[in-house]
Amino acid sequence: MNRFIVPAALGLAAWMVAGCIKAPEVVIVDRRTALELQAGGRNVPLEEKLEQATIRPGATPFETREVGTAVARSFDRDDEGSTDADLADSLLEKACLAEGFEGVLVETPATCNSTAEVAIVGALVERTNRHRRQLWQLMVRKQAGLTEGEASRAWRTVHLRDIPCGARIERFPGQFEVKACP
Amino acid sequence: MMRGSSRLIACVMMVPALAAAELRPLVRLTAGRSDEFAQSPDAAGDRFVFVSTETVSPLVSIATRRRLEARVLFDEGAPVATPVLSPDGRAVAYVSFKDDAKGDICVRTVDRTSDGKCLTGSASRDASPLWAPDGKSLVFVARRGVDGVPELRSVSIDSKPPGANDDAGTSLGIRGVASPSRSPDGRYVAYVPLEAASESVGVGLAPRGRARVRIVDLQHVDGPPVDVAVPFPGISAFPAFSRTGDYVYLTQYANDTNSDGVLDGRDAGIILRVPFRRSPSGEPVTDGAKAEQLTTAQMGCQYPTPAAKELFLTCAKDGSLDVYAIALEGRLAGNLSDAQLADEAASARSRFDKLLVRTRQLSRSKDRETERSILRSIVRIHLSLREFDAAQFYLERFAVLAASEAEKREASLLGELTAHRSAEYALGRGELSATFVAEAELRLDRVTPFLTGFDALTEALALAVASEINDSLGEEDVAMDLARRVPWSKLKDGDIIALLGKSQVELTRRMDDRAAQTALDRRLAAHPALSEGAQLGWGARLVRDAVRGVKKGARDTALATLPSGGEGSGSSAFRVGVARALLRLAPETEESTRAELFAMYVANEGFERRRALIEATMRAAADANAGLLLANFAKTWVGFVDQETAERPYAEALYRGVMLERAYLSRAKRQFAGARADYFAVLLVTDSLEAIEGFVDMRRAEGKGDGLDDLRGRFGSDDDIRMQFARAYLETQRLGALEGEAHEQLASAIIERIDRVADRFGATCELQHLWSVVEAQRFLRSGSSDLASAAKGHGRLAMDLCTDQPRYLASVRTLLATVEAALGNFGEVVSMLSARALLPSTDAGEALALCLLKARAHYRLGEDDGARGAVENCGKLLADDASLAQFQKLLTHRRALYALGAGRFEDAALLFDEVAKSSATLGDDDAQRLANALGLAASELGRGHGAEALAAVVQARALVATGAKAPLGPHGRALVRGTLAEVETWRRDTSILLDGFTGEAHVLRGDPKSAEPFVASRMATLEARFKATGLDEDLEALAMGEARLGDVLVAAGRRADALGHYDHALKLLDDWGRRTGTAYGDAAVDVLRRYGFMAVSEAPEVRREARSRLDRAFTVLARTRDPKRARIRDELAATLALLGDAPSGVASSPP
Repeated sequence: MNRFIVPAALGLAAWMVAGCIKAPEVVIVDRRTALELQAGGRNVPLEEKLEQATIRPGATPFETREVGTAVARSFDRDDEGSTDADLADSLLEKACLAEGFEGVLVETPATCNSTAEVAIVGALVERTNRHRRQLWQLMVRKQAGLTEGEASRAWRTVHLRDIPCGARIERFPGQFEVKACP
Repeated sequence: MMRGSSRLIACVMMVPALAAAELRPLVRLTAGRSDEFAQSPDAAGDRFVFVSTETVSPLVSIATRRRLEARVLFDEGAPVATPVLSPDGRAVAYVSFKDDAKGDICVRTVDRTSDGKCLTGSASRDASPLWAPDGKSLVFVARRGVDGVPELRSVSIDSKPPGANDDAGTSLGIRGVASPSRSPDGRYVAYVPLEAASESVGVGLAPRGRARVRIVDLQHVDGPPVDVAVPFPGISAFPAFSRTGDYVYLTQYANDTNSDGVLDGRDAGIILRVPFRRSPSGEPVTDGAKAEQLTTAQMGCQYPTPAAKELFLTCAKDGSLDVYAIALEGRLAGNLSDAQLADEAASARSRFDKLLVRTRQLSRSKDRETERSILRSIVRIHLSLREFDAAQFYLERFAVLAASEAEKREASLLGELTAHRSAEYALGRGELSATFVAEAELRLDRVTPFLTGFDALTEALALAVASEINDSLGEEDVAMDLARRVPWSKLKDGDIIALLGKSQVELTRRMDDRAAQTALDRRLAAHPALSEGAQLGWGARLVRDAVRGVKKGARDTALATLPSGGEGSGSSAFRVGVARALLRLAPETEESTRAELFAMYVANEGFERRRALIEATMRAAADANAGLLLANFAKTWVGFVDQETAERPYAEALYRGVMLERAYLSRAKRQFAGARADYFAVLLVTDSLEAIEGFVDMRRAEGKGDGLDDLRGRFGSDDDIRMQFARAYLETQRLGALEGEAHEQLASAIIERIDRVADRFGATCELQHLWSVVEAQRFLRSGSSDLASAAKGHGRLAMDLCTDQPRYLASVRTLLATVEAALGNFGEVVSMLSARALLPSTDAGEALALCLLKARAHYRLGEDDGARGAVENCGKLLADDASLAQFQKLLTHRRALYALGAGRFEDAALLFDEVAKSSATLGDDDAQRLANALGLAASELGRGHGAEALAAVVQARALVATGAKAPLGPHGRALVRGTLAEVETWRRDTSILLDGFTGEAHVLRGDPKSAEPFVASRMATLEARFKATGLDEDLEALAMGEARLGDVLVAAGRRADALGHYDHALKLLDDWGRRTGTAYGDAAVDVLRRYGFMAVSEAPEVRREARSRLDRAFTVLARTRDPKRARIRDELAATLALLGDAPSGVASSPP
């Protein structure tokens, strides 16, 4: 007999000897539905009252400020004059991107307050970072003895002055802070 | 002048704009997370059939256009495709894959009086059925074998399917056909011709044909075919004749929008229409040059199917396909004047809409110079969208029209720019590729000769292209040098200046050269070749560049270095002046800032300057929460913008948004008069249905009637359509309190009103929400699936339309969660409630209802922790709001139920006991007491307390005996098994439950003999139920009941009898398995194991039979190797071992 079968067979034997049976798991086929329907404690007037509270005509008159949305809707343009830099600024402000510790743009979807398309954001980051690395390489070529790391750090010092207020900056690896402009 | 005048707002007579020029929206007609596509409307466009993927296999549904009532027309349990309604709308032809994996052409009646009948056989792949005008025959595409050429054939709908190797119907002599469409008179067929290299025809939506549509005359199939040439880039597909036969609609895939390197049906399509007629001699004639673009690629659409007044489409949004409708003319009305088109182009907020307008202008252009100017704009837009193939297409057209050598060079250099950007965009992750660098250097070589010695335009373009190439190659210093040499002052075309300006912005921003950037901004803000609007755009960029990243306190200093001024100054100075004034905005300076800005507004009469001032002011005021400024300037602006301009709807939306916000703020503070005044102010200027609802609510809150008299005074008479809406809104508020005939009559009357309002207003957020409320009320009273579909359809459409009205979005999400819960779609409920939770609630009852709904959804999904957490949160809501105290007992019920469901029997028993005590106090009815007794009995059984369970059961039986009625739900709706035969059904199911509980209680008390009659009685009732219903679930319940009876008999020492019941249970489970396609579910294996165990001590023939059964089951279980079932597999193996024989495969069984 297979070694795995022995314990199970012993268990079954004990069941037979004891003649015990347990309460059934399933009283009616869909236990949760059946229980809810027949043992759920219906209270029709109260349930009806609650149900009606969810099916009312009209807006939910909350006072959260939405006027910024109305203004943006009236004036925002998806314009052919918009540049990669404009898009990056906007995504930095919406916390979808951050200025990374290494001098490159990094995607931060966990904090993103926008529905920006992932593919578009990814391509933007790729293009921008490629240009940044090329710029650092150019700095290295133009200044003898400068390493790419030094070039990127020098470039970053200047660049961070130029990014919009509210943008997130990775000051140390994994540690982000918001650029404040009091 | 078109765009405004110098009128002061004090003199403005405000009249709502009823028909300001506006781009028409696409109206969504189907709802749900699944894909809905391949629609076919009837001639009038009142109904349409479509394919839905709401189940595993696509099925065909039918829906009404206005009321959005959708129902499944048929589900073959196998894929179907391309349903097409017959000319009289009574039948549908479609492709079925049920009996032929290659596809058959079949027909069914729409009234479901007949099953499907297929007209083709297995010899060919059959697709794309088209009805003849008389509805007596079908044309379809048939293809024999993998290498066969698809051809058009015709078959009578009265014919029988051909033999296995025979073709159906007769050939029409047209070969190489995909996506055919037939003209209304049946004479012409339009299709996508297929060449030998791409002969794969499918039923999906991805065309594989050549880039054109062909039309043939069925009366002269050997005559020369007519190819439809459209002046648009890309490939054409899915032709469809208009109902009147004067147009051919088609889908144009103009760009590789998904960037997969292939232009095909997976890209975002646009819909075109081309005039069609027949010559006096009957030849088909199309006028491709007059092709009109009807939709944009912003939301990819395909598969146009015209009805009499609307065009039906399949469009993709957020990754889901749905059926939409739009006017036959598309987003742009056909009768717009040239001036209106120019106005639309200037006001369009999206590049896609601007392209739509530009292509319409292009089709109307009367001279080459205008055409070239429009083409420059189109190329610029496509380049900005990174639609390089389309840009190249229009550049080639530009080159053909070039009037001078300079323009030919312009086309050539723009072509180099396009090719370079396309190559750079296609670069993969990481560094430049060697191929890219080599091609870029070659391109640079070709451009360099044009850097000097040519006209200014040529040199400027060459410098810009060379600068971009050097920038890409990492030579930023060279790129900057080249960019600085652009002779801006000599350039005369606004689009070229904008194109080069943008290129230079990219470079200077990359270099973080703020000085160079602001210098460029200033230069272009003053460029005489740019329109004032464009100049102001550069002025706005100047302000942004000057203060970007600068601390608040230093911004004025930064701007002070730039020239600023008021009237008569340049665009950049004006824009800087506005910005500096806004820097001073603070709560204490709001009035002075308003006065300063208003003085600037009055002094600058031009439309563009005023718009720039309003835009800057409104953005700053919204950020600073400056309500005075917002309200004043919103009113000023809407008073200034002319009624018939394209800008008007935006001005109205701004005013509406600002004033409604103020109304809601007052309303929250219970300042109802102020809120009412603001709602009314909106009605003086716009046709806001939201404002009508708000006004009515506030009049009622003030206790001053329903506001209809005031509205009548505003709108003139009761016949005004806005009065109809107000009445519909008020009536819907009453609807919730009605039942029965009164409810249905009022609901029908409201829907008629809404329908009339929809005729005038089209699809709006408020209207669709109201409609969904009415349908939801009807559904909750009737349980009708058609009404549920209508409620969901209007609700989903409202969600589409309410994206800018979050207060309605909140209401719609709440409603849809309730409807989905009533349908048992608890996954949808959780999803909807998650979205709803992002927006606030204002009503304690609604918040509690949503909370309880969430708990219920978790419970029904088996997420006991989620249910427990949610119900505890509901308790907090109750504790925080005294008005909810009445719901305490309901909450306790739910807590008890969810504890029972989670197996926390101690908690459940205590809670049910608590409910019982409060029930006694509150005088609950017998149905409630009975429900509670059942819950208590179940809890006590779970605790193993047989005596207590028995006591609860006795109490429950007494309540049944004294006439407790079925616990009907709200509105008297039956809750038992979803049918209206509630009382008898409920009695039967209660009897099953009570007998089961009684038997189990006796077993727990160690008295199986007393249990036996109850379990046997339960069995008899289960058997009667299955006979009555024939449902699979009742068969399974019956089988499990038999097995349970076997268990009880074992406990009572009647082993031989028990064996017979196990045997019967297994036969029933085999039957259930055959019916449901489920082999050896856990329950069946458990019964099998018990049966086998009982057989161990029986006669050899019984043991052999048991061994044989168990071995078959074990073989199936061992084959599937599901790790979750390892334990049950081993137990089965152990039973087999006890029966005296190790099963096959045991040795390899894992532990």
